[in-house]
Amino acid sequence: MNITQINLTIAQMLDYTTPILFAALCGVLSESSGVVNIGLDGIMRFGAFFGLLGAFFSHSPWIGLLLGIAIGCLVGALHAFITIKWNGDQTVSGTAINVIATGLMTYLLEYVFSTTGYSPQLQNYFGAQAYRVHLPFLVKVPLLGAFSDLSVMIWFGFICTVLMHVLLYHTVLGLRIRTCGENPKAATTLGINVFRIRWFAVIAGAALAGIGGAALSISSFSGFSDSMPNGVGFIGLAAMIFGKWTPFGALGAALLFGTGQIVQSLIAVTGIAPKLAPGLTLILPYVLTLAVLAGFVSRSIAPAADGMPYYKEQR
Amino acid sequence: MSESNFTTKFLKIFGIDNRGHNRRDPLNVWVPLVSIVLALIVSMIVIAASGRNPFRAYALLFGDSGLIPGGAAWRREFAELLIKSAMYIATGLSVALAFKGGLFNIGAEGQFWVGAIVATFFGYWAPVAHTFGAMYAALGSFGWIAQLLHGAICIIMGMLAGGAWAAVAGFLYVKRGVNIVIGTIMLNWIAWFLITSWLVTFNGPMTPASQTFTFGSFYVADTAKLLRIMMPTRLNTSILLVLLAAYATWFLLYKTTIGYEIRAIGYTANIGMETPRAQGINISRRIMQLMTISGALAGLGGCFFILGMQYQFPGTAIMGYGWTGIGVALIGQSEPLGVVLAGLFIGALRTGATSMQVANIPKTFSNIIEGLAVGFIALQVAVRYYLVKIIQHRRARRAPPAGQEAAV
Repeated sequence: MNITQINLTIAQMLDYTTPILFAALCGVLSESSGVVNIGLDGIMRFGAFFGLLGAFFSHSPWIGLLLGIAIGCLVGALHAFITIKWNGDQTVSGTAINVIATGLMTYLLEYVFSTTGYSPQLQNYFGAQAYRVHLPFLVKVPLLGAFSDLSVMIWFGFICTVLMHVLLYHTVLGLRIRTCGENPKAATTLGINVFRIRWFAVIAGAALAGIGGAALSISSFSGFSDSMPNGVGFIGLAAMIFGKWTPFGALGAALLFGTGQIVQSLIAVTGIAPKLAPGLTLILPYVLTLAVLAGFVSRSIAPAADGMPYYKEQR
Repeated sequence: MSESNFTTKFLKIFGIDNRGHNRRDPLNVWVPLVSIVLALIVSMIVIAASGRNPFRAYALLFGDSGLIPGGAAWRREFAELLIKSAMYIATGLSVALAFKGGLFNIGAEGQFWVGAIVATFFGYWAPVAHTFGAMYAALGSFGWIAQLLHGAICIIMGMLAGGAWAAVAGFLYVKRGVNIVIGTIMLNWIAWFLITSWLVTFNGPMTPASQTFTFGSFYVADTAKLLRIMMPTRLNTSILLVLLAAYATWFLLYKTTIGYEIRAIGYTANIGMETPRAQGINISRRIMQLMTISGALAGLGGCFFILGMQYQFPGTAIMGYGWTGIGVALIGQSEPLGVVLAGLFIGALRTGATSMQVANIPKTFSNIIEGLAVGFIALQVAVRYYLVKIIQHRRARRAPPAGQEAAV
């Protein structure tokens, strides 16, 4: 196994990591404010399709990315409308978004491209050579060499993680968001508009999930497939929990789960354990998440008011 | 937002909590009906917006759904409707029962697969299959007894497996405080990858060795297949079994102590469950039992899938029976009778959806209708609010003018 192979494997791992990371960041932001969003798998599906749509017709992945963000905001607003304005059950609303996404994207795929299963392939996508971030000085450095030639989305993911950390832990808005997630009544007594903060967190989070979907269809892959996002949203949810509802924790968990996804090809390349069935490595993220939640590895505790609708006048 | 003030007031006035647990409220019937109608209207707009004829689409959808008698293919469609509905009702009952105990069993999907894979195993496993094969041959014209017994063993094992899978989530919730939604989602994916990437895959333990490509697991023995009850269609006993399960669920919920205690836990799930605890109900134990029964019902659906439809675990597994079960439970307002009706409706949509391909509409379109219906159920506080407004408006119009009333 030479250095090029190692670099390629790491780059591939990062390709898998990015959508998981965006999904996890969506969860972190939304749940920090107290709104559970299990619809993020569906929002990613919206983002993946509309990202491809924008990139396909404009021949520029940037337009695709913008469209992915826009549709993410739109679906996020729907979730916020149901759960915050009308105090709907957050899990039910998320389920509805997931089911609608399954049906609607297949419908639109057939409607726009007259195909089933796969969209046409993109020439201009973030994974293409022209859109990669080239850092020639890193090529010769061991391990860091993998970072010399990455899709711009991967860097964007890292930047978003840092930005999210700054937002949540070093700004007033972040403090307010976390207060709404921990104790909305206390937030109200401090003059914070819980509903407005939650609207913001849900929509901004959904925009991130939209980016995550776009990262699948116009960065990791060069087209939309009908099976997308193939549970990536739920892995993202797992990563959020595994990372204890913090941005950097989410990044670490996403990296771990991304590695879990390529363990199979790693085993094939290195020949460590050729007899291990693929299913047994693929379940790793989920088993780890359950172990963490159950406190077997280390404890992970959700924001106190996570998932609770907020009634202003209720004692 | 200040608008939520009236939501709160509204909730107070009508004594409704956000899941609509008030069983005697007549609006409980109207909310799912209105949700379905709204979902159909919005879907119609989607079809019209994409330049297709919504009326033709719906004519095809409902014409071939098996709901309307008549026509050459009606018997076949009706059979398909009942076969599909049986699975949706089973997963729907699973989710609904958990709802009654205040738990969101989003893991019906995983429990469905686990039930299905175990039913498959006992369907083809040589010691069992050979025993019943020999029994079938020996009994001659009473061979159906062997079929009944083998089918029963597969179904019991599948239900036990589904129940055990859900009990894991229940155990983690009760003993370690793992949120049931997260726990069951994780177990879904664990089941999914264990089955599709290990058990039923190329050269997997449950696939024939001669395969060069994954075509699914071994086929179950003939004796394990569910008996057909309406030749020449493939309608089988699954619909009868699931109706029995629905009745059993109703009986459990409303006629037994355990059902009463489960409902007591469910009513107070959002406010700490202090009342049932003060009554001396063993909450942990009841929740474990509830999850086990709920999982067994989902596993029952998986058994129907294998023993009544596929006869093997398919290589390209079809996902979504458990997810659809959530929609069925919500549309059915978590009542066993409602779940049966909602399951029949969703089964009809799925049966008729195939015909919509004639009008260039993919068969997954029924997902949109179903998702929208669930969305409107999530919005039920709004739906109830406007329904009450409409009722009040009509009453006010019928009543004498306000001035006269004041004079009296």
